[in-house]
Amino acid sequence: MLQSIRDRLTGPIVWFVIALIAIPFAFWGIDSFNTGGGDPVVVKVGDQKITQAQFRQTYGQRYEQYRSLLGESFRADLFDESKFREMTLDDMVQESAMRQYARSEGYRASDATLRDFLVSVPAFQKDGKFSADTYRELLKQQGMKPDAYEIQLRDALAIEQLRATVQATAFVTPAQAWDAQRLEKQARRITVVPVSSKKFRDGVTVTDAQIADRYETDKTRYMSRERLKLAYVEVDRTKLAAVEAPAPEVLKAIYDSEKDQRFASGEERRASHILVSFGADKDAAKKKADELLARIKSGSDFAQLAREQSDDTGSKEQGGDLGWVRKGMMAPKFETALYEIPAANGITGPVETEFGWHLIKLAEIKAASTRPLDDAGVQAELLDVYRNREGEKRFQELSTKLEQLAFENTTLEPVAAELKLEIKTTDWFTREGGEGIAAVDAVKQVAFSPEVLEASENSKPIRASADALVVVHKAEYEPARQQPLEEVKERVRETVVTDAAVKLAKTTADELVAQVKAGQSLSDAAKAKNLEVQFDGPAARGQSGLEGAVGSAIFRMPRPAAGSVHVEAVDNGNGGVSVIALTEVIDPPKPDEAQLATAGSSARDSVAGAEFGAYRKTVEDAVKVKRISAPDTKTENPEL
Amino acid sequence: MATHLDDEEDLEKLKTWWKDNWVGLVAGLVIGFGAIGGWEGYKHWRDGRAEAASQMFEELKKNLEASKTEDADKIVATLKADFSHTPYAAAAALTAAQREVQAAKYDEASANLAWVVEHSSDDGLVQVARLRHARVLLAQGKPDDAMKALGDEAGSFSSLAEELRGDIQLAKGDRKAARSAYEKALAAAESGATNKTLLQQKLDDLAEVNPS
Repeated sequence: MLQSIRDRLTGPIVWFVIALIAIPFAFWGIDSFNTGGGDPVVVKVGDQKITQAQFRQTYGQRYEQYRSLLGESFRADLFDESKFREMTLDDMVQESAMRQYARSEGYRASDATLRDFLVSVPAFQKDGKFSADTYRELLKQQGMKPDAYEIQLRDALAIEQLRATVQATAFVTPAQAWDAQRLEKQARRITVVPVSSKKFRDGVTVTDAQIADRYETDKTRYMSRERLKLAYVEVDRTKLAAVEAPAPEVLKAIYDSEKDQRFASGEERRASHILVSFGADKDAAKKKADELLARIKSGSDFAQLAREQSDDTGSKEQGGDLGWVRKGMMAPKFETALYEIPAANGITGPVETEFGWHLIKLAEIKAASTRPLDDAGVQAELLDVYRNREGEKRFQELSTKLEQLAFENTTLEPVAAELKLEIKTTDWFTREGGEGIAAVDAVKQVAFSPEVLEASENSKPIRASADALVVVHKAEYEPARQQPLEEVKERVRETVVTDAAVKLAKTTADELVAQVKAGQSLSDAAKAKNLEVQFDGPAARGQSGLEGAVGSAIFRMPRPAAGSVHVEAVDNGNGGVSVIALTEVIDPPKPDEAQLATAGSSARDSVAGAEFGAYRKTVEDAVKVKRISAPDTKTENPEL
Repeated sequence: MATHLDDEEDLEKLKTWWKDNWVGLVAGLVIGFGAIGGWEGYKHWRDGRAEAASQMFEELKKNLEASKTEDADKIVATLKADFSHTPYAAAAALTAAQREVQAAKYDEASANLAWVVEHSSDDGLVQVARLRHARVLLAQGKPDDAMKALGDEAGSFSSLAEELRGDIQLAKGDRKAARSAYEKALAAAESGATNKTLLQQKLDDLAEVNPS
């Protein structure tokens, strides 16, 4: 049988079989057959998998953004990595779930919305106008093709529509707004008497036995953390010697190879337009465009008409002016029409694009040109190009040498001597990080790695900032240890005394509460005990002059019946206990409609946020989110 | 082990099989390809409709920003009438309802929100509309209708639904029922929910009903 198949490997049957095999690939693509390699999955969102590698990449990007946003004020030791990890994953899950849900519900951003968005992004603009070159160049730097980017963008815009459908349409009724405002502006008439624990401290006596007992129970609180000092050498791109200017022939060579991309500009046309968008009726819009064209032909001023009638908010104020236009910047039909106008001041239209009907006027033509080599600007740019390339080359050479030397030696001295670098030392730091290079994540990770910590080897070069590489070596190390009682005795005594004093303060406060309940006023009861009244009168939410714990406790107390008083003792978070007597709840007067409208806006935001949160949950339940494994931010290769 | 004779025989069998069955096979293929083509065509048509509706929705937003309310109303009507199978019809109805509440036109807002509850295929959006519908009814002084409009199954909206139930009870003067609804709402709230502060304030304001 096999032989005959081979013999008859021509003819319709074979092609039929091949077609059968090929059909699935033609319609579903080879991707769906490719289940991916060994990259562990973190979360399954519907039919999409978020893998460790994808998570790490996103996490890294967001971490860098966050760090550069905070700049100098970024503190590695205060940075909550696990929270940031959760937030990142949460956002990734939300994005993925929303995208799939938006697709299945039928949300789809139109071409016009896509273009509107692209031209509004400042990063894609040159001299305040969208530039197709800048756009392509920027995407290329990110390693993306415009097609792929536009698919992603269309999804993102559809998600935005979905979000806006829920969030931007939220409202509050006047009753809701009033309710929120009534509670927010409510005041409560109170008397507050704090009983500080400080005045009881002197009366407390503490024995050594008590201290020893306390130390034994709280032993884990008295641990010193493991810490490390590093020696390091640093190669900084910005501190390299300046590159001297090259011979003119070198610049000429760069000019020859780069002039087409850098110094040539194609024909440009300055255009104005009047846009009539389709609205609900496309034909009516066409009729309006025709009328406008007739008015222009019979002498109306184009710019004036644009100001009055154009639906393009971006250009109408400028009399429809779109600035200089090159090929590839505009919608294809618009571009063709514009380039068919034979000479300046010609008008054409109506032209249909996805935005609506356009009347187009050609204002000026700038012919194609190339700036010459001896132009001062060209010379400066060439010199810049040369210096950047040369500087980059030298830095690369130095980095390679640094890596080699660090690998060949077990100490830093030969590395420093060979490259004429200075050996610097960090201050003590823990796994949470420290000052200078010890604040950098990659450095922290390598510093506590087995190679550096246990084997005392040179590290590989580590990127300590955008421009600097460091090689580190262990200088001093101190492991975590239990601090003996003698070392921390004062700290232990302090806790024992404080606790005893707070207990005494509490007893006094409870006596006050009992006296007020028996009918005495709080001020009188306080005076008899030589205590001062801290606050007497109506208090608002977040009242100044009161501790936060006291401020919130006031508003949690039940309304007293008319003429009676409610009294409570609360821990004031300030090393003492405060006694609060509440006599009246004062609701604010009902405002008029206008005041309610302004008060409503923050209430509206809060409702919108809550509704969207619940909606999001519904979406995630519908798409099905399944957590598979914990996200991990450790990169396999933290160096470089 | 196959012999040459077997091969000849097999070939003959295949030929007769082909003669007997080619019509069915070809017909099957035609139907199959036709179905795939039809499906692709339908998808293309559907995407086109969605894009047209999407574009109208964007224009609706622009018109509202420019306060061209008449044009906006026309677009809402067209979307609801001709594009009700796209999500943009519900989006337009919600947008219209928001504007109507701001203008105190509660009957119109109520109708738009009820339309979303009835027509939207998006369960989450139906819950949103149901909640808002109940709020509008409460604002009209119809607490019992509001309670009915709220329904029973709120899913992930249960915290918001309970909060509104509390508001309705409070409007009816039942502070105890209001308090227990707010307590349920707080228990069901997600940890970062933006309505939590206000909810706690509403609950605290009723502390005397159930002094702990």
